[in-house]
Amino acid sequence: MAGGSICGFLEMIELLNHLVFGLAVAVSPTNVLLCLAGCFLGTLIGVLPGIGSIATISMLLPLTYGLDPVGALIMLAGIYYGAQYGGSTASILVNVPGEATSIITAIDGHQMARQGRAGVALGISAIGSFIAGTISTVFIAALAIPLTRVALEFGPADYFSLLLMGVLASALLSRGAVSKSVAMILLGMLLATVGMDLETAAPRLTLGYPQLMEQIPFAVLAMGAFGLAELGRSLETPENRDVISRQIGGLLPSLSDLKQSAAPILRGTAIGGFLGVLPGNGALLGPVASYGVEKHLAKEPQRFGKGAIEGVAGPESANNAAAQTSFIPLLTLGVPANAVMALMLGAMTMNGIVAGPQVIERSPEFFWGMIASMWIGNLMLLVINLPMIGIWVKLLKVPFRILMPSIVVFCAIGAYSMRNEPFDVALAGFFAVGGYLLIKLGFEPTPLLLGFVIGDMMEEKLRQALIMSRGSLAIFIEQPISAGLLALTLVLLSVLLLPRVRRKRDEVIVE
Amino acid sequence: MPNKDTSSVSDVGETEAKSWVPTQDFVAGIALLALGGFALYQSAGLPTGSLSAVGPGLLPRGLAFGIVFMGVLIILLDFTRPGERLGIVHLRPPVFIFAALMAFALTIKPLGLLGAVPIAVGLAGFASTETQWREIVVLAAALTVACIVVFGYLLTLSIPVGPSGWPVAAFAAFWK
Repeated sequence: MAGGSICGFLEMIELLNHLVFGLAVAVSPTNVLLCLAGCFLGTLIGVLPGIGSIATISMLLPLTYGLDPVGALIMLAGIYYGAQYGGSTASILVNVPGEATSIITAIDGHQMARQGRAGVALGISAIGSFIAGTISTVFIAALAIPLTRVALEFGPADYFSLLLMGVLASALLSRGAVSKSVAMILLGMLLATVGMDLETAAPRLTLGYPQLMEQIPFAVLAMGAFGLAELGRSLETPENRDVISRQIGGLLPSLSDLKQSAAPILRGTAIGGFLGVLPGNGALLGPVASYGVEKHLAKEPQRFGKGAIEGVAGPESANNAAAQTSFIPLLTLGVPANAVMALMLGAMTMNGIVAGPQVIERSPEFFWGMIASMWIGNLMLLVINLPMIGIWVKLLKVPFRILMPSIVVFCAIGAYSMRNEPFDVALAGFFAVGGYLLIKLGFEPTPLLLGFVIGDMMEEKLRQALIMSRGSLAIFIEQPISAGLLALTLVLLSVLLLPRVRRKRDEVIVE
Repeated sequence: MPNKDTSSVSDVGETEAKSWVPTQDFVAGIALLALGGFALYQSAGLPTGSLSAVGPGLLPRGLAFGIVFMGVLIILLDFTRPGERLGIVHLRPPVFIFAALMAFALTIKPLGLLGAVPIAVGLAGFASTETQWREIVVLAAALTVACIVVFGYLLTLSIPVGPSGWPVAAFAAFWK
């Protein structure tokens, strides 16, 4: 008993040590500046209605090119949090959520804004997000080492099976028809094979373009298929923004507001933190689940939908907690849980970091710096967003027809400047049209991106495993970890494809 | 001609009556067949190797077959149930965004930001039906100046500022 508690105490000290070490990396002036710039730019683009956080990150990806890996990831994390927060701001003030995760916030948040309490809604969402972010950062740090130890036991065959499970689970749990998701994953993997084969140096599917020998640049694909395609889609519907014209009101919630929100924030953190680790749209389900729980627990559920502060505090905390904990599979296993994490993984690769359990050993400053910067990013949001709310409101009033050409030009410059290659700009344009048409045909671009990022890793692991086994596929069943993961995949597959579960899935996800 | 006020959601209802409009899934399946087929054709020359010595062609061909298979599956599934009809595809936004990027790609090396930015802004302006041309002219001028100052001088990205040989020798090193 006593031994256990001493052990626990030592582990706590170790955890604190790691976090302090990480903070030391993250608070270097350059990194704080990068985090600040990331948060600012992320909010700037994320606040634009109709542009979600994936599109925001895709378009800002080239900015991180050429930075050192730690700085690049810190900036990217800042962009991510900024984009998320910008989405909430847009949904509270305009009722046109920038992204799916903000839809829930819009329900009660926009009502609060109509009652002249926009400031309080924004304030509580920032405070809730900060608390959720702080708790989940500690949670990530605590889980990182044990999980990494497990992951280090993994051989190539085990990895292959893990990736297969991850990719199938995300297809099953994403929006739209499963068959279409699977097709998009395959297409993403196919795009990943373009370029020179690593072992034989044979050019694959390059159509004769020398610029494609080195693979399709990840940022160009993301920018085209996500950012620009989404831009095209939002041009289809005429502008109809109902920006709140009333006073924003004070930002600080009153004591009774805080009392009402405390429990929802904590519950939201727990719900979102748990769901965020799951593959696929787990992070998306966090706010939905939290809203449902709060409505269920409330003494007067009829207040929901009419400006209940719990309906903002809970889902916003869940959203942010999920955004944080979805880093866990990426940082410990090197497996992205969702599209945003796929973007992060792509950015890591772009900046020369091989994701996976070895990161923590090989570049601890990267690992702990990144985790500490999550917390700093959350703090930054609190510091820069609340005072700057006036700017965001003004920005929301700039017509889209002016923003759109500016965004196109910035994307063009971004695509060009990564390799000083005009070809990449044209390629982004090509992917923009392709992505737009795929959206029109009812395909989701998210699994495509996941497939593109995972495809490379899967091919590498598959080849390694087959070399080890001298060409026998039996290795995937003979290795115990791999066999277990494959069995789990089969169970998951059969459960989720049961008609009853499937109908339920559709209900939850379409919501 | 893209419509101003019909969103694709309401188009579905209108087109339901015209039975010749294909379902979304049918077209989606055909698109997959085309993509997979194209990849198969392009990777035809790559050796697939064997399981003990995987060649460069195994994965592209395997994936292309997978895509073709999914295409067939989606078409077959489409026949078994009444599917959503294909909504109206507004070609204007993607076509002009594509044109803007293409123009930027072609003009950035010879003309630099000074030429590429206004051309791209002008073409992107066509993507929206709500564009007001006086605004676009002002925007193009402002963005050109801003991009030259920020990207050319402040961030010193190695991006050409003006046409080759312009403006000063200080940037000559960047023009190749």
